[in-house]
Amino acid sequence: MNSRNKSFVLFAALLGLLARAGAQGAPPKTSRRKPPSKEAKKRDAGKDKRATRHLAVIHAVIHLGNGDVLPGATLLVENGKVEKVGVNLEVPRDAEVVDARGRHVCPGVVALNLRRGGVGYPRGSVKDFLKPFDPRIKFGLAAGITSSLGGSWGGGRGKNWVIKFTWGDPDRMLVAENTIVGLSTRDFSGRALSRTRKLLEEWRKWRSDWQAYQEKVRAGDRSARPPRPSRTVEGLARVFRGEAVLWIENVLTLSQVKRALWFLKQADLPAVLDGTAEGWIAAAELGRAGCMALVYPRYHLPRKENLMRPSGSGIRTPFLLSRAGVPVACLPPPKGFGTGGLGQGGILGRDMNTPFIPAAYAVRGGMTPEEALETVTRNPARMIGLSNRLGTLEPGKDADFLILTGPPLHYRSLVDRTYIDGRLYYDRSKEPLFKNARR
Amino acid sequence: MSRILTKAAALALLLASAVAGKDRIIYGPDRIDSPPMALVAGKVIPVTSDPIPGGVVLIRDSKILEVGPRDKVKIPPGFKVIEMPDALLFPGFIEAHEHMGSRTSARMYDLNDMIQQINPGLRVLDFITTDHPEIEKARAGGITTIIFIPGSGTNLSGWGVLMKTWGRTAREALVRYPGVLKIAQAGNPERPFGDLGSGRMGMNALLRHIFTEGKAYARAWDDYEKGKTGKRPPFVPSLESFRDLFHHRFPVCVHTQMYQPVLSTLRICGDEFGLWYYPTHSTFDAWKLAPEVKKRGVFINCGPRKYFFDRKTWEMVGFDKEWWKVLGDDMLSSNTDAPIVPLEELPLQAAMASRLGLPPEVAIRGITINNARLLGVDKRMGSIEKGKDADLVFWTGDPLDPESHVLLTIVNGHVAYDPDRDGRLF
Amino acid sequence: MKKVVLFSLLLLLGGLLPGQDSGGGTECLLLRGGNLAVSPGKVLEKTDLLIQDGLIVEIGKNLHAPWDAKVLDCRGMWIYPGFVHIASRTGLRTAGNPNLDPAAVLSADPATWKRFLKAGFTTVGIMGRGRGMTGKVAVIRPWGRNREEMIRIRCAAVAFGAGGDGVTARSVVKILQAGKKELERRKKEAEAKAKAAAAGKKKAASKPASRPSGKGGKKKKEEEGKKPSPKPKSSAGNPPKKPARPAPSRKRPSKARPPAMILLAAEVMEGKIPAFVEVAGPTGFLYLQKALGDLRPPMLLFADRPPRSEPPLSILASRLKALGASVVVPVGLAQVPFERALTNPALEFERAGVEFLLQPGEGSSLGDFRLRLIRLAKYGLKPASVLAAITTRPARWLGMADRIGTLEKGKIADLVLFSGKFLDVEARLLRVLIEGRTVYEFKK
Repeated sequence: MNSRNKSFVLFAALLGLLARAGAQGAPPKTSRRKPPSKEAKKRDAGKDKRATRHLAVIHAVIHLGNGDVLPGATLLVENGKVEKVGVNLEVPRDAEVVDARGRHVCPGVVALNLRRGGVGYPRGSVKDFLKPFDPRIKFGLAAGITSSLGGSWGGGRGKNWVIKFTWGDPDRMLVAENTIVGLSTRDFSGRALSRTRKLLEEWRKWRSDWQAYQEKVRAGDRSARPPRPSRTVEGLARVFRGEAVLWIENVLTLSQVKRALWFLKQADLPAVLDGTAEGWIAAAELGRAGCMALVYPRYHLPRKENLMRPSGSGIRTPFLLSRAGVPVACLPPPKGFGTGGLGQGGILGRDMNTPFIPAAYAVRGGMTPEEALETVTRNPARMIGLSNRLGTLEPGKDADFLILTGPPLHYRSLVDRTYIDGRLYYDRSKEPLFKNARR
Repeated sequence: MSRILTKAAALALLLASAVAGKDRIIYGPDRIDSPPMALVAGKVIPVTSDPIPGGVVLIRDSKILEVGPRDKVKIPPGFKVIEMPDALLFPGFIEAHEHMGSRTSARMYDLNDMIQQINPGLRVLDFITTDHPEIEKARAGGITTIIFIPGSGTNLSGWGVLMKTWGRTAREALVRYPGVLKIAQAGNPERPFGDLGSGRMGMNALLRHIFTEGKAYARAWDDYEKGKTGKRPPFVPSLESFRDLFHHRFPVCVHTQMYQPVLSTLRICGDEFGLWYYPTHSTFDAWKLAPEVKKRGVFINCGPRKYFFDRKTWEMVGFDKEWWKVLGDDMLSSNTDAPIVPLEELPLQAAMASRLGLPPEVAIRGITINNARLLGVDKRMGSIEKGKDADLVFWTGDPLDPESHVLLTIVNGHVAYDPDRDGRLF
Repeated sequence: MKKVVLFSLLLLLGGLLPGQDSGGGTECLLLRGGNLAVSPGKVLEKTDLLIQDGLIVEIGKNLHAPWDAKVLDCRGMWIYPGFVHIASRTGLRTAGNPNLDPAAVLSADPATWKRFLKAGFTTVGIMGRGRGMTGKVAVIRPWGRNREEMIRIRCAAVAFGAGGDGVTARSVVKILQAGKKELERRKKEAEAKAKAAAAGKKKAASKPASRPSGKGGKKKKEEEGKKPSPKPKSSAGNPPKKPARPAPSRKRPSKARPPAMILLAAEVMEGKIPAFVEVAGPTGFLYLQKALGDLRPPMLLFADRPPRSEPPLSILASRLKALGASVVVPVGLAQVPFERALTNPALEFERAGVEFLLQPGEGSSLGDFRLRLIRLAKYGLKPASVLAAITTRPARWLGMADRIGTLEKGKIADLVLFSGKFLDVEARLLRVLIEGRTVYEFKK
């Protein structure tokens, strides 16, 4: 061909090359920076690109978990966090839309009494001993539980953890480790009392050292070093710094409540009281001390007729405590046949396959339904020190929520879908557990 | 002299026959004095008929005089009016399997005498009380009638009592003794290294033996009393109640679960001895026997578990609804087996049955009229109808819903639970 | 002199010629008229097979039998390559440990191995089980007078146990990483050697003076006569930099794990031999994958002992497919959580296209082996897949693909003869041949 055609062909070829190069450069930079590890690639295939991931649940009655209930509302989730909840919200075009008309949405339950489930027996960090395929996780998801506290925390020692029930996904399971420091009222009386007094002395000393350190820092002293707590007060130091929450167990009768209050006053720390049966009698004091109460509404302590003062505990305990400003979490009965666990060995209504029933009983005792919902969502999240992430559907928090067939506290409401971090982990129509429950 | 002797002999005979009749069926008082009251509720739910909005129930002397809407029923003067315009009025709930009728058995003592497997001489009549905390809570939970039975530690554990949850005396609380004969067919009575009767073969054999004995005893005494035989049969106190059992005056309560024991119950109690009986528990996969049960017209009492976990399909099957699909609305009921589930949570048991598929109305029937029919007292209780016992409960809402609570409980026409008076118990 | 050379040459040539003489007692066996399953999916009906000196020399119709050959009438019989057991613990009395050398401790008691023969296995891999590195994997034939006769390969693979948690998985990966470092070190050494040779004698002269000999002491002993200086880079021309004691950059303290482990790991990372890694279910696999990161050793996953209440590894089938991993699965059917019917992960793997091998089991379960295969085929596994999973694939992973696994010229004559198709319930194992010799014969 002649030179003109040749140059034309060359020019066209050049254009073509440029176009190809241009096309290669077109995708956003973020896709090039994708992590090279194959494992991440596999996990992210299809669903989780570096670009934002949007989910919108529309037309639902949304219980926020902080007292508000919005009918006909929209929940917007971005990259696994709650972006916005409201009415007449604009839904992003690329969002996955779930039409929940006629359904209720509420935050996922934070379970506090599932000691095992999802985790093996850790010899080191809990991260290495997860069991993401534990069938109990599926039962928990079907019950509406999205996060769970597990492990042990007695005597100020013991490994404990907070996991999310992300079945099959070990990388997203572990939320926090060792956020609970535990003591018992048995340490506050009898022979253990002298040991506790010593502990309090050391603790007070550490506190004053800490004060001194703070003052030095404020004065600009660079060489100031924070006082290192001895092993005995290490747990309390972590509670003081906000890294952990103090739990006191065996708090049932009023004398035990008073002993716990004594210790807390001496240590000048807030705590969660596990049991708190007769605590309603001293509800005002508990409120002033900044305590939180873990209550078993159906745990019945009969009235002591030989006493002049009020005694006993019943269905009204959660209401009386919350009225005095004590955040309350409700759980099924602690002892008895078939109570407290997940799976297929228990009695429905008394185990964690129905975690909302204790909240319903709290309503029976006098609470409002919104307050009662908090007892299984927001308050447990506070009691494990993760209220910045779990417990309510507020902007910035993790998008762990449930889509229910009816109001969350109603005995006939089943969980239709469970989302954790904005991902679907349980769909009732696809899982065998309750697929035919209403057929 | 001979006349005195004859008179003495006649007296002795009378006394003997009186003694002979002493341990037989005892009915509680049919009518107790109670003040006239008019109960007005936002809605009256009689269970056997449509709900009555703004209904009125007139009661006196522990019986219901009249039920109807406000405009139809006039409240006569002298009737104390209890008006709760926001409340629902339900009949008192009936529990067909529990062990909480006495202070001691509620603490798991006096529940099981576990030496022999067959104990026809044991009964709970002698220690029923209605003033211990568990029964008080039951009243606060809306339960008005209970079957108090011995435990299931043995195959035939004794005779139970049908009683109300309130009475100024034990006699007043009694409805019928024997309420039921208690038999346990699976699980608890089985002991791996025990005497004869520890396995199911042995238990069935002993059961047949005692039933045969009881039947023969009943027939012998019937023949004697009708005059067919002249010789007076020997008097065996522990077999006396079998006479009424074989006259179908009260049922056998058979604790049984799983397919095989329920099947053996149907065969032994039903086909072989023709007794009036009801399988209680009937849990796990016993629901697969529903057609057999329906054929025999037997009531099923379900609980305390309300689901069967099918390992082949990993499905939580709510077997109440499986029973209901075959048996229909009238032959199914719930129980708590207190203290396994506390007595006051009987409505929760019905709620859990409903959660897994049973319609709520059937669940309510299950703890009212169906249980009454199952125990043979449906002429006296189980619904709000004229002539029935005045066992009524005011609820703030749906009783199956744990969020609702009891505002007032009336048993035999008397106020048995009033939160203002007794404190809020549940 | 020339004559001697010529004569010996002739002798040598004579020895190299195809053996027509039966000088050393070589056996010659002709199997006439059988149906040969030469490879999975390929069957030659009514074909003859000639064995000589323990090797298959000829396959074809109407072969001419040499004058000294024994002829076996195999009409109606089905001849398969001998089955290969991928990993057995039989014959080992100790648990897996890093120094385990099955070839050294194996029991040669024929009673132990008879079961394998009766099940049709002519090659068995011997592997210890445990946590971390669990020793070498040896390949044997289950017949012989003593241990040395039985061993075919002393070290065909390296066994690891990655458990079901992150700590064990990381310990396995640490060993592999140490092996990789060893490879890199060798490479650097080789480069430095080349450089030194190229640069001349001066560097070689200065090196020994500047380095204390204690530094590379241990490694020196193990390597077959390598140079005394393990880190030539650091020593190149900077004697005053070094402190009096050994260099602080040395990573391995003296109480390190025995270098034998690292050498084995290095071989694995080189690709010479594969790693047989036991994972406890999908959780174990996920932890292993996370710990491995970018490491890609040739790896055969053993998922044949799934923990209870965990789904089978096939739940991650697509992930395994993307990785190109191969899995050993148990041969039995089991019920798994949330599944209705009995199932085997092999079915899912076949559907997803993941290469799988079947683990026959030990001891008494060997007797049911064929019945389990039949059941698997009934549940949907293709017969060609079943045969491949017990012949060609394990042969390849044990490093003997060129010698066993199919019926081809030049391969070892390990055969099993059945009275019918091996997946036929009524078929019976009639004869097992190892290297042309009948080691098991069914007698009525």
